[in-house]
Amino acid sequence: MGKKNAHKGANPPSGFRKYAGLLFRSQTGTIGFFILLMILIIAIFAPHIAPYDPTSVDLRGMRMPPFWMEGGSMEHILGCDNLGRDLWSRIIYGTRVSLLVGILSVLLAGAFGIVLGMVSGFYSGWIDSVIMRVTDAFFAIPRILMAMVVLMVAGSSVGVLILIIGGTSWVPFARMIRSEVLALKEKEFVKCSRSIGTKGTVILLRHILPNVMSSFIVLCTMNIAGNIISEAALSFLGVGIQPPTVSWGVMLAEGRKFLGTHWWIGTFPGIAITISVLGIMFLGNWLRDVLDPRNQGIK
Amino acid sequence: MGKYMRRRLLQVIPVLLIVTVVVFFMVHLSGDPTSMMLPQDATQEARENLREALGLNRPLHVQYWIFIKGLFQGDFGISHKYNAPALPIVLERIPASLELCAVSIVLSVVIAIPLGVWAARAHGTPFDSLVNALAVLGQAMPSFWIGIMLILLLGVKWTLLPVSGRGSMAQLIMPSVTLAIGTSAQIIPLVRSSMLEIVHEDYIRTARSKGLSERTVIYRHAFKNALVPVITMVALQIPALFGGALITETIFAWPGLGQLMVTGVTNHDMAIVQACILMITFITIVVNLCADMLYCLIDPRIRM
Repeated sequence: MGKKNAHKGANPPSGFRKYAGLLFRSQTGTIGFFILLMILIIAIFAPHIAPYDPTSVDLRGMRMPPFWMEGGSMEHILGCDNLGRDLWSRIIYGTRVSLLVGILSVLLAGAFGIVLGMVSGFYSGWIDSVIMRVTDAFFAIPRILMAMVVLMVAGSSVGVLILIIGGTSWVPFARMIRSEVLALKEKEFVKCSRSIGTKGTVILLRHILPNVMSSFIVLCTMNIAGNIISEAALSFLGVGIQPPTVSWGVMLAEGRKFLGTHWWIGTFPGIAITISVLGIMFLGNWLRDVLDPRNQGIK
Repeated sequence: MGKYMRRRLLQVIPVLLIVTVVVFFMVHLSGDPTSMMLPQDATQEARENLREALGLNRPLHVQYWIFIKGLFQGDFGISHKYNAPALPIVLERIPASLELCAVSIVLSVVIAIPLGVWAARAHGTPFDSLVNALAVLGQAMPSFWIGIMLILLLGVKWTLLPVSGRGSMAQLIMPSVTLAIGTSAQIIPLVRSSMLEIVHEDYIRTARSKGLSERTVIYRHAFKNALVPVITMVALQIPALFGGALITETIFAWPGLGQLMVTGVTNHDMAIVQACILMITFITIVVNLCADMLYCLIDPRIRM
């Protein structure tokens, strides 16, 4: 049974259609998919969608409220910030940094974590102990603290931010992949392969890697959401993205100063973050349900 | 159990060592501290003298050794901002941080456990879906935004609560609620799924067939076993909580470690930053160790 199930992950039925069908049967999965699609489109076509330049200052529109409030106008639907910059356009441009940092940092962390996790789980012995203790150490140092110090030292740019967020978020990948490999190692198909003299690296790449991919994809998706929040948090603290580059975290930090009088400046970027994270989490939950072999009941 | 704990304790030593190496290099790479300590127009010679006095010209491993020796003697470096040893400044902040952390953990457990258990008992009903939706929403909202919105509503609009500082109970409410919302959102799904798993176990059926009241079955038999993964989860939340507290403390001007750390970074005060990181990491390791021990006590299978 173990053999059959394990190979199911290795050779998924080549059906884009099957997955599309499954996706639209799940309500939250569909919502998540469309939110992510929407954000991707907004990020890619930002210059065509945004009504204004996100950095252009319009003194007449200074602190203009959203359109439904007194003094607001349809020209700036979400109103303007303290410098008269259109909030809607800024939120649109903010998706770019969020997605870029979120996705690239996860790819980095995932690549790093999957290698460490596979090596550590497969070879065990001293190499496992070393990798796991390093993982424990990185787990114990709060990520945001480490990121802050490195950003303070290295200076801040989108590239550095991706490296830092990626470089501090690989721990869950390494841990999860390791535990999966530990279990897979004992399966018959790995033992069989070993008994006919297949080399360790070949077993690892050919037999084990495909079987950890589904959990890996789920973890990647979930981590994009987390890393988007990390980016916003670092930018909010002033060590992440630096103005004039637009980021939701920077917008929140600016909005915080005007909470008492102009609530909209700090409210809308937060809603943008929440919606994006929610969409990605929905999609991740759906992927987990579909890809996890233990949930094959929902075929 | 003794053997397991001994092994677990021994694992802490290399972890602590690696943490010190990471922190040492982070601080070391942060550039020349003399540029912060001397005036702009200091001569090259003065700079060199200071470097010599601070031991910065020695080889790296020697510097690391001195650093480690210092840590054991309670020497965490001198803060150039406060012009005083870093350790007492950091220690002074710990009660505030622990207070906030403890209150928000208690608060999130008090919110999450009943909601999770009720949702599991009402499996498939609208109440269950509502709890699920709230949990997902709680995870999706960044804590700093929750904090800002709480200030906006409770502090500015309705002026119910003070928006910053520490001292009174009222000042504790907003920061701890901010942290508790995110944390309980992480715990609720776990309590729920773990309860759902357990109510199908044989021993629950046995308990029911013995004619025990539903209350006893749920709280005495199911809940106790469902608690095991929850404890790990709560412990895992503690580093996240310190990380989150960093921002929450800044927003609410709560005088804890997080706020000290943020101002340390803005002032380039490496001694303070280093001491904060080491302290927070140390607390995290101790808490995780305690969680493991507790885990051991609750689930006898792990003692093997």
